[in-house]
Amino acid sequence: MKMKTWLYNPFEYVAGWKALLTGLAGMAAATYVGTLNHTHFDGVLDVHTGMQTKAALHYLESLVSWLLPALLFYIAGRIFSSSAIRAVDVFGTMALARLPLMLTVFVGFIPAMQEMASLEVSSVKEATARLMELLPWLLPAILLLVVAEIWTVTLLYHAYRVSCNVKGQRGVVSFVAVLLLAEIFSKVSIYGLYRWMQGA
Amino acid sequence: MSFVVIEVMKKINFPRQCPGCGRQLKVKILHCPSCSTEVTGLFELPLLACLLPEEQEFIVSFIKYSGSIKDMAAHMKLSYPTVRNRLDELIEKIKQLEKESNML
Repeated sequence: MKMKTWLYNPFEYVAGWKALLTGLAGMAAATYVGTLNHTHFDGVLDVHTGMQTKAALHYLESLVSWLLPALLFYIAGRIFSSSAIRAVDVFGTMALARLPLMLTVFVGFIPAMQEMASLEVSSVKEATARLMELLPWLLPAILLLVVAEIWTVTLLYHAYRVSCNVKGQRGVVSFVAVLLLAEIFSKVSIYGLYRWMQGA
Repeated sequence: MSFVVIEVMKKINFPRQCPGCGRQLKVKILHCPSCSTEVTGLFELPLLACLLPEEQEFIVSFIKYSGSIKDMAAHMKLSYPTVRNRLDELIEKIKQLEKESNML
């Protein structure tokens, strides 16, 4: 088993229930950490820190951010694939594919990120000056986020390709379309959840 | 002596395609290693012989595991959808070979 394959396409070796349980455990753990440092996974590829909400919202956001794209990719697989695809493979690999993004929860512990989230300044000049001071701390954090995002998108693509057996141009086009749709739907759903929980 | 001939034959890569035009080869001569009788004609290669050695191995393993993708996946240390995808690719290839064979 090659390390490179494990990193960018672990679904060659892991799928089904094993992937589902591992992915869900990782998501639950990261969401719990997120409740401690106010980091939210509020979209398919979104991580935001600073907003203090009820813990339940954190878990619902994580659930929506995984379940919605997995469901849409499953539907796309049923449409575009001639293979007999299994729902557990699609939902499992999609859960596992989110793990690199889950690791970014620790970025929320960096004091500069905490300060950025609650930065209160009276002028643009003051904000710029403070931002420049924080930049050496923020840059590695931003770099880590970018790497995690690219890694997650790569894993999501391979999860779709392997679990649904959709390849070539059709696979790439349907993947991009579904990912965009999932991002929009997840943001709208999470915004609805947020409004509902604020009212509750 | 004939035993040696069989051993040598096993080690040679079985040619399936013409090195000149790339089309599928046919069998012209069959040889008996025991009495050296030769049968000349024009025989079609069996469908399975047209597949690559690793594809033939996959089919043999699949039969050995009673057609269970789950058991095959465990044996090959691969995930279920990876094995299923390979099987689907093989099915497509066999359909294509049958189609080509019918066209000739």
